Amino acid sequence: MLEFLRQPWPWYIAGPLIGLVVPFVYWYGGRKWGVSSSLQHLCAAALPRNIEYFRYDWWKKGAWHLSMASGMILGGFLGGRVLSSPDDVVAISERTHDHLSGLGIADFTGMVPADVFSFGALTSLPGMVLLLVGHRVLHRWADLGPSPPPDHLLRG
Amino acid sequence: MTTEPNAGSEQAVDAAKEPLWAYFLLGTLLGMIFIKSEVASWFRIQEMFHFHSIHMYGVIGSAVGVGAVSLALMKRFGTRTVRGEVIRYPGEDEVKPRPQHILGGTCFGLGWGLVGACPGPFFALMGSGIPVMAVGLLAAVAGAWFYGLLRPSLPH
Repeated sequence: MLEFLRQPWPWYIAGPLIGLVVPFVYWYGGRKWGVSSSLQHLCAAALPRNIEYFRYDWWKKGAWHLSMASGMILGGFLGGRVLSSPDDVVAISERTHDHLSGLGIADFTGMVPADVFSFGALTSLPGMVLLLVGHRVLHRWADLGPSPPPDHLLRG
Repeated sequence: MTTEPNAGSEQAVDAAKEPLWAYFLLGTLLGMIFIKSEVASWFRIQEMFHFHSIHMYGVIGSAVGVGAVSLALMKRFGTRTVRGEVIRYPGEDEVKPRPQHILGGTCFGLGWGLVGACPGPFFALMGSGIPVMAVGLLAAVAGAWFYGLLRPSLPH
C-alpha cells in the first residue's frame, strides 16, 4: 500500500478527489471552497489599513481557510518527504523536457527546478525573467531558430 | 482572487460549531494530492502551457466536472449541511461572466505561468521542503493587498 501511494498519482484519481472537495465543504459547512481567499485573510489579519476589502472579522470569516492552508503545508511535507516518489523526476513529456533543456534547465529532479527556485536565484530575478520569457520571444522575433542554452544567464 | 465576492457577501456561519481541525485535515489531504499528482510542479505547469500533455488538463477538467455534477445533484435533491442548514449557493449575479473575470483570470494566468504555482500549491511546496516558495507566497499576498488597495478604481 505504502509503495503504491509513493508512486505519482494519476490525474484521473487526483482530479476527481480535488473536485469532491467542493461538495464536501458545502455539505460540511455550507461554505464555498477556494484557496485564494486565504491571501485576502492574511492581508486582513496583517495589514488591513483602512482598505474596505480588508475590513472584516478575518478570524470569523477566514479561520477555516487558514486552517486548510496550514494543513496543506503538512500535506506537502507528507507528500513530498514521507511519501516521496522513488524516482524523484516528474515524468513530463519529451517535448517539454527538450524545450526546457534548450532554455538552460539542467536539473530535472524534484517538484521545481533548483536552477530557478533557490534563494541564490532570487538575486538574479531579472535574469530569470529574461531567461524564461524574453529569451525565447526574442529568438522568435529575430527568427534565429531554436534558442541555444543561455549558460551565461544561468551563471548570472 | 479578483473573481471572489467581497467579504460582506458571504453568509454568516457559526464558526463555533465547526471544528477547525476538520479543515486542517482536509488541507493536509489536499496538500498531499497537490504534490503526489504533481500539479504543484513547475515542470507540469510548463508542460501544460505548451499543450504538451493531458496531465494538468485532466486534473483540472475532471475536478471541475466532478465538482459541477456534485453541486447539480446537491441542488436537485436539496441537500442540507451536516447540521441541517440550508445551503446558500452563489447567486446568478456572482457567477455571470463579466469583463473583470477575464481581466483577473489573465492576471492570475500571468503569475501562474511565471512562477508555476497558485495559492494551494504554494503552501504544499513550502511544506515539501522548498522554503523559497514563501517568497512567492508573500508576493502573491502583496498582489492581493494591492488589489484591495486599488479595488475602488478597478472595473467591476
